Amino acid sequence: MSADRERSEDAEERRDDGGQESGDGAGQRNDGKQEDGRRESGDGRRGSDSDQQTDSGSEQQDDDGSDRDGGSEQQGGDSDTSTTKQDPPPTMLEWGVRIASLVALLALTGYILFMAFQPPKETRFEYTVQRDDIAERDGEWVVPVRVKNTGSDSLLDLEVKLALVAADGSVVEEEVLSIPLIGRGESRRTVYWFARDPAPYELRFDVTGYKLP
Amino acid sequence: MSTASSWVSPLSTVIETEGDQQKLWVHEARDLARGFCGALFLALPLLYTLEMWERARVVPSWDLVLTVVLIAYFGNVGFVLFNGFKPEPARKSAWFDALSAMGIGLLAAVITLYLIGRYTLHTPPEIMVKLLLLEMVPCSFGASLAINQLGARKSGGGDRKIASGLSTDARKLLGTALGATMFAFNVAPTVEPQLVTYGASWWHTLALLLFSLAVSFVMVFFAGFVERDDGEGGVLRSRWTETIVSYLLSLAVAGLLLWMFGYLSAATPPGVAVPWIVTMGYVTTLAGSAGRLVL
Repeated sequence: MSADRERSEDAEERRDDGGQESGDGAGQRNDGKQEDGRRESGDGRRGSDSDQQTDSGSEQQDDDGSDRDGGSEQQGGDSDTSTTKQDPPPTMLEWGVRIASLVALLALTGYILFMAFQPPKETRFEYTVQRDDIAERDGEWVVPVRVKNTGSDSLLDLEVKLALVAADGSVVEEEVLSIPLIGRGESRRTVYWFARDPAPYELRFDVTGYKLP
Repeated sequence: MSTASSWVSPLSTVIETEGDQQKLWVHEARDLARGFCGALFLALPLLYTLEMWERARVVPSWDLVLTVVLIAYFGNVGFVLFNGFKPEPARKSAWFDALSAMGIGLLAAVITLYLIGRYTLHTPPEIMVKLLLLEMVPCSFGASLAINQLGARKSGGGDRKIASGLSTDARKLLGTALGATMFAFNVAPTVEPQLVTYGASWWHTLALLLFSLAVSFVMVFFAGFVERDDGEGGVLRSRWTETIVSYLLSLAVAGLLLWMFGYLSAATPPGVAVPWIVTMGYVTTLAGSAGRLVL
């Protein structure tokens, strides 16, 4: 009991010191806290059970929803748990982080909602043959192609067939590549390998199938 | 001369912590850095998980927005009540700290996703945003659990939880839900629970259900990991009542996570959904039991 009282008085003294050292603004706030702390000590509520502390803390919550006062009471109530002698409101740094977080979240979710309200588009594809990158390797010809999903559905296991078509319309060679997943508006770079030089032929793309998620 | 308003302290404000005089903004910067490290520590496995990248392309937009609002924000409020990234309860604010944790999660996720090549010039903005929001969820949980994961200076300094004032029942239920959400988040996006479900008979499902209950009971009440103070009264005072109610809550979390990652929908037949939730419920039950012990 006496040890508790000594700890309490010690805490009061340290609180006084902190108030003087931290400048006017913090000092003004500390004065109020000291009064609270003394009132608690006077009421003999130090070391009361957690329910009492919480009730009091919730009653004294600040407008910003913090439990600073509750925490202060906890400090006053149990010096073993006290690691901070002052509980000033946040600086512009923390407020900046809070505001930036809110703005970023609102912007990102707003964008997602905006996209959700866009009218659906039928599944279509755009193919871009990167002709400058067509090259012969080990006796075969590589043809890089960028496939873009311009529809509004994401697709699984998309299979795209690329055929070399002669002038008379006959297919001289064809290859099928599978793309495991392609999101809406997303493009994937694929590479087809052919035995023939594709230069004299028409390149014809066909989708042979895909799964919807 | 600078003065403190009731909302904002001047940058010159000095506080004394653990015997050291320190500017308040430096202290806040350290809190934020702690949250950032916690975010990466918990969520890095998910930032490197293929299924998370895939789910971002598949999850419906509305589901993602609801996920961010309901699961991420309120989940973080719960985590801050128990833990947080600030060591001092006096400076905690559950509602604002949850928001900051989400901001920290966004930053940790966007940097990592860029560095590991998930964002390219050909990635559509919509997919970038959806991936970022999805990865933000575990990152923000990591920020909100920073002290629990990594500790803080003088971490043994008594009860720092601002949730200590909740009723015993509320703490148990919140601990179950938060533990289940946090730990099962690593499993929920993967395809393995689906594969397990498709290969399981109804007998397997029933056995899994019973085993989940048994393991939960043993973990909390028999194994003696933590000496629990069950408090006075409370609906969940009976051990089996607590086990069963926590199991049902864990199943709800399992269903919520599967819905969140776009696996379950209203169109999923019950014959598929029920064993899938029970399979996932095995994970959430174990995790929820751990949550009751740890949180």
